Amino acid sequence: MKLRSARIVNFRLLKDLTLTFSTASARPLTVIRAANESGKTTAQTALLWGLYGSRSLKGQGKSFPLHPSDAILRGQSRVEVSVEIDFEMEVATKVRGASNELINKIYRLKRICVERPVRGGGFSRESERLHLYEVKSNGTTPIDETEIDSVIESAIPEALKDVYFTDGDSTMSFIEAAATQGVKRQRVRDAIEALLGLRYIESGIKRLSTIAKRFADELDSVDYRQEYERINDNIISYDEDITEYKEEVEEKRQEVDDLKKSEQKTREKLDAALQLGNKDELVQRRATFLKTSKTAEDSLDAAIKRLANLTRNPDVAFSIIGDEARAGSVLLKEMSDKKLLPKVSIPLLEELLDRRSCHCGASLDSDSSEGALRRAHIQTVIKESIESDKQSQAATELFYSIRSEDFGAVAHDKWIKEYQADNRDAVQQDSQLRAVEKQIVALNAQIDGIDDSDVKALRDLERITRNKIDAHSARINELVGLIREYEDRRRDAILEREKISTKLQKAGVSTAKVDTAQLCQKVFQGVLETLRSEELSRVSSEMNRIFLEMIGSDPVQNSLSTIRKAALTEEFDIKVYGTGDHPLDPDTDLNGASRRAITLAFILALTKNSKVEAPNVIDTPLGMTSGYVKQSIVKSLIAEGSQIILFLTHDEINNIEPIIDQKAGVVFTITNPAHYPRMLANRPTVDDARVIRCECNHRNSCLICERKSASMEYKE
Amino acid sequence: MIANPFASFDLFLPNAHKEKIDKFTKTSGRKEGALISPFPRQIDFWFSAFLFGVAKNLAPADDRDSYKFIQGTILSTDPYRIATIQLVALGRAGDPSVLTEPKKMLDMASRIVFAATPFLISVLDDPEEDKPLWALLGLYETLSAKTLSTPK
Repeated sequence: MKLRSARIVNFRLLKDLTLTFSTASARPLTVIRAANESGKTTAQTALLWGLYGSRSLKGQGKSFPLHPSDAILRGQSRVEVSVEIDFEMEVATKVRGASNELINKIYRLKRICVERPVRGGGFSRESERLHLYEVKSNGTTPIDETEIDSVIESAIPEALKDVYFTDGDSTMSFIEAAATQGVKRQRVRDAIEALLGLRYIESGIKRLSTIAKRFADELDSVDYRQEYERINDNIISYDEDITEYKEEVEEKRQEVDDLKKSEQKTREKLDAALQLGNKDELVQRRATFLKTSKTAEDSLDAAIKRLANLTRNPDVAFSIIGDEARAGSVLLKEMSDKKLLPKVSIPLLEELLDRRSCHCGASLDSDSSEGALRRAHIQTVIKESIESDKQSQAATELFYSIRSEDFGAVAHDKWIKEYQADNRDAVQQDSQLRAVEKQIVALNAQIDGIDDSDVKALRDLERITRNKIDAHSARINELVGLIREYEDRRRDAILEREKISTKLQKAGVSTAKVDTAQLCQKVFQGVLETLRSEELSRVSSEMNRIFLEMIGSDPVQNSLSTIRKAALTEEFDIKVYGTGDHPLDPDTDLNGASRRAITLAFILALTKNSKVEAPNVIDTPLGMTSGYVKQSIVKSLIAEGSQIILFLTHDEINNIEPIIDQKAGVVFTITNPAHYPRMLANRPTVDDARVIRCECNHRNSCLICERKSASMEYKE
Repeated sequence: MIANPFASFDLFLPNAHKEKIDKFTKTSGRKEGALISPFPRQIDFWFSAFLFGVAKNLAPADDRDSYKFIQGTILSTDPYRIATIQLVALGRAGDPSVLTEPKKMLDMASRIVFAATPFLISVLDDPEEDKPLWALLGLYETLSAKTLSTPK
């Protein structure tokens, strides 16, 4: 992968800065001349942010504002920050059938976010998004969002970003005394393992260990053969039971059918028997009729009695003997008319004698002469009456006894109406009684006609049949439930048997799997060990070569060389050895240049061994170096790297101009106008804080980038 | 109340019809009894026979073969019967002196009864009539109706 260019907008001081990089193989060096505090580190940070986002920033970027610091002052409440990187890399593409070819593809990456600055230094970042395009001759093609990360990872793996994007001071961390030995080792180890992808192998080993363990766990101590037989026996037993139950169900169902037919016949017979009449019901009806009959009988009896009493009814007699009675009564009347019938006065006369006065008012008082006279007369009359003949008396009695009686038609009328009413009543009662009696007779006949024993027997039979049907039905339900339950158990047992069968098969397979997993694990472990040892050795060897090259030491040809070897130990210590393989403390026994050299040599050795073709972007790598070592470092960087991008100060460029002349494909300068007037010679052309690019190379300057020289500052 | 001149005399019914008379005068109190035996007492039969004989103007009959069934005092329970017998006797005799001869009147009545009894029984025994009581009442009705055209 090679960087082609980068446009940085509103990334701190880099308000609108375009960086261009050399991709020419013959001139792999890009020099960006920048004084201190001119945005070198910011530029590198911007490139990292562009590639990997906020997670590449210190503290995940939460406290790392990206927007220009003067945004608030300039009244900007919303700042869009963007970094656009063009890069190229070789991609294996299947062409012409099966064969793969490496094709150089150009990509454009653009990362954007919005920051809202807040007075006091706070801010919020939002809407961070990443776009990736493939740049073709006919335009750009967006890369699917899901593939962006993999493309970037293919370009420069994120784990290696600190190796490829570094600065001279950071590289010193591998050997600096400030860190403990453990920390230094870990840094070296991390760098080696990241670059060589050893972490992936370690991760693979762990995964294989987990798999092997899982396979091993599957190898339990259960006797699956015995279990299989047991389940098989159960299945056979279930089959037998199910068959037996099903047969019984069929039998019962047949029996129920037969019983239902029998029940139907019984019911028909019962209905036929009951059509003659329900005896109980008929008996009840008869009882009702009997009551009615009794009432009618009593009423008729009363009516008849009333009729029978006519034999003692005087009106009957007087109407029947009307003519005869008339003759006699005529005679009596004649006698009465002739005064032959004594007045029925004797009682009256006798009553008068008991009175003091007559009814007419005449005195009958015996004390008076008139009264006494009258009394005497009355007594005489009484005596005369008594003395009348019995004939007259009898006639008189008879006359007066019949005087108020009616005879003939009148007497007839008197008894006939009552007789007719009683007669009608009697007839009605008699008729009703006859009707009721008729019904009773009919009921009796009906009742007698019912053979109760048949009905009872049929009812009993019906009840027994129904009970049998119910019992069989209940049994059928029970059996159906059992069949269902056993079928479920059978199904479960079959599944279990299949599982056991599978386990039996797997038992043989699992062992092989465990063995395979363990073997793979061993292989990977071996690879790791080999990589570690071999690659370590290779890196060590390479580091040594590059280091000695850088510092100009040739211990083979010059036994006086004070630094004879640099090595990377198995403990991941970077060691430098002096005369007699005496270990030298890099932090104390090496000068600054050598320290820079060893660490850069280590980085270069790593990148070379990793076979990852990626740019080395190094900020001020040549600090504390000079002369041969400085030049050697630059040459080694150019020789060992595929694309070298160096941010160099003016001082770092001193004495390597020829190298830059020969090997740099792109050189330009970035200037911070804030250095005016202290360090910059000319007033800046911008009125805000921003880094400005000019095309001045390592040998010239312009109004933008001209710096004041020391002679200018200290003019005599 | 009228005196009972017949109190000291006995009343008789013909022996020949005794059984029938007993049948028609059974007083059991049952409905069927009254229908079959419409006369509560023998005296009621005797008097109905008297009425029947008078109404039909049957010739009095002598029947020595008779039996005493009760004393004349029974007539006091229905005094109108006494008056009826006397009235009929008076009407037939045309002479009030008959009223002084209770035996004579009673004999007359008895002879009428004797004459009427077989007829009465034949009416009661009429097979066309459902029950003797209905036959008797029918007889009463018929005999009574005959007087409708004759004013008092």
